[in-house]
Amino acid sequence: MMDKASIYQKINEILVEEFEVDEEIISPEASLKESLDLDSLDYVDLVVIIESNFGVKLVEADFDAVITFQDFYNVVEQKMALRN
Amino acid sequence: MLTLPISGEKLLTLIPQRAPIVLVSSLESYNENVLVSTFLVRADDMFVDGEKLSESGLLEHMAQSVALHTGYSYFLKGENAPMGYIGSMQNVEIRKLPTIGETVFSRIQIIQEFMGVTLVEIETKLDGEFIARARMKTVVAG
Repeated sequence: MMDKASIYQKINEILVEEFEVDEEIISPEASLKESLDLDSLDYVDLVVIIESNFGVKLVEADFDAVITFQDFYNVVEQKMALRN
Repeated sequence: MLTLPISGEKLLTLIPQRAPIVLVSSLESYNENVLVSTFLVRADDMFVDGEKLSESGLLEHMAQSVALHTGYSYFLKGENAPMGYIGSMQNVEIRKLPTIGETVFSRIQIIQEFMGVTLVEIETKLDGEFIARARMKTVVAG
């Protein structure tokens, strides 16, 4: 079972490696949407990669309250907790 | 109720494309995540180049197979087939092109659907032999 720090680190690695996000701009308080600059075609990739790495399936409603990176970490973490 | 396989005029109720750019001949099998379609290459198809279906024609056939999955799922919900477009193509591999008179079978696998975008993997066979594959994102318009 992954701890919080490991989850956050893995998500950051994915964002840097797969979505070419500048590691410097990733911080818990930063805006996820503005930082990632993803379009709807990219979001489906993000959902697939999160599912393959964490075993949880994100749905549109999961992004409704996501503003910051921390919000996104929390969504993934909560989904993983529910799965377990 | 439409009984599988579906072809001809009934098939056209499930997709937005019309002649001369219809590149699916039948819907062979369907479930929520998988569909198998066929396409018989005819001499008068506008995507035929010489004796063979062009690469763009084969890719369009794949995309229309995805549209067929969307259209049939809408039909099952009692709704009309929506318009859509190809958002992107990745991992395209074409080993062989079918010739006039040959029928290809394509299997599409839905990988993910999110925000109106469908990510699918498509594999096409001819006489049981793998001839092409691609990963596509399709988008339902409007």
